[in-house]
Amino acid sequence: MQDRPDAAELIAAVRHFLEHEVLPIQQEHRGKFRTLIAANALAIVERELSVGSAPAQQERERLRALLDTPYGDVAALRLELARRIRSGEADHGPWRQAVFTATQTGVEAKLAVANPHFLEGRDVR
Amino acid sequence: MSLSEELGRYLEARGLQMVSLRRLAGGASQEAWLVRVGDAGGTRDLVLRRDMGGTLSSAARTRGEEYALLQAAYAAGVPVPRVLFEPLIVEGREAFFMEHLEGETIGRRLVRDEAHAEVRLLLPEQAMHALVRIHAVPLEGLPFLGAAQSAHDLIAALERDLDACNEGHPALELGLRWLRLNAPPLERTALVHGDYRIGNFVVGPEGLRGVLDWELAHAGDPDEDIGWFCVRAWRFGRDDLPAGGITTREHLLDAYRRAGGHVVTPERLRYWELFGNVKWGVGALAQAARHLRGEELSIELATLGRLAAEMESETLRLLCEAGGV
Repeated sequence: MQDRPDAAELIAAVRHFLEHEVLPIQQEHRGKFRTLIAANALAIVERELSVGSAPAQQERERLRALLDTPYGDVAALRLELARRIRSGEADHGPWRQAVFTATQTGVEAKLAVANPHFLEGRDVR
Repeated sequence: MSLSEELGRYLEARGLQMVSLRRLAGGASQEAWLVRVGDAGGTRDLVLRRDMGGTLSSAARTRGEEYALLQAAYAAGVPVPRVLFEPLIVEGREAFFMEHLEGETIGRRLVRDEAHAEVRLLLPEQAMHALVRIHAVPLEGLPFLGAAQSAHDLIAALERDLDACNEGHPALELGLRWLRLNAPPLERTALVHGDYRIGNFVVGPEGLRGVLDWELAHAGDPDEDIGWFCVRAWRFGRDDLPAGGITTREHLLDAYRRAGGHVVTPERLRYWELFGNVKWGVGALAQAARHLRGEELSIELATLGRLAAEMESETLRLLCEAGGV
């Protein structure tokens, strides 16, 4: 095991550096914009580290149930679901509702890490 | 020869001395540089736009084509920066010079800052007035645009772009499928700007001074531009004003009609707004893929991969509203 600061604490330190030391000395809009993007990327990593692997496991189980298969990782399951939607299998009926609900849940899990403000309807960027 | 040396010689041959050169914020698929030049009459600023090597989507225009589009738009009475000289090749990439229009371009400031409160009231009319003129640009002079693209053609292109990312995106697929099943017929064909929104305008205190970023222009259904204007990403947090964060959808459609445009139904607007969300979702993933493939390493492109979920969420919300679930 590594000594502290742990990964999340190191990321937070770099983000603090970007926000408080790099950002104030940027003269041009382009530099400010890119510094903010970089700091925001680190904030995403911090949230991803804090939620851990549970959301990915939940998505895997959700997609396996939806696609009625005991196999597959999330990437492969997403591709299979995408293929079936495109071929029209989710156009109608009860499976459409199940697909929609599972997809909504998956998107919300992504946003909880990528931009939690978006779901609250107060997107500040 | 460096960029600076190459540009210096080009300008010198046209009687201008290059004073300074700096990169501007902006496009994810082309570069913009502010070039200060001088002659006996004093100094002034020009903008150089140059291909970046990658493209936003399979449909992106080259700088040479953008030059021709700006010329045609200017001739049709659209407020645009005037192009200068002729298109050139710099360090192996297509580029052109245009005049630099002073004013605000940053969408977030235009939509949110108190300093722009008054001009926000003028922009819906002015933006729709300019859009009606864009949609009246004769297509004959722009042969590189090719045949008019129907909704089905555009959807097929988005599917190809999405497939090239090799990731499954069920939310975008639900959107694409709904767009397939509800595609309107191509009733009228026009020059479509393709990225017509707050953030691609130069705005002064008196209003719209120039329409920028023509790289997604194509021949197609003009309603696409109106839907794109209303995509949530371009409201910069002002969700209470769905049309670009500056007005309502109803007022926008009314302004377009009063400027001489055709009647756009709320259903058509909803279709193209949903299309716009899917298009920007796929576009964000395609740009992130360029970073991930190592074609162009960029923090801006990389983070777009995580932005796509916002368009996925909005696509699902619009599908619910449309009764598509």
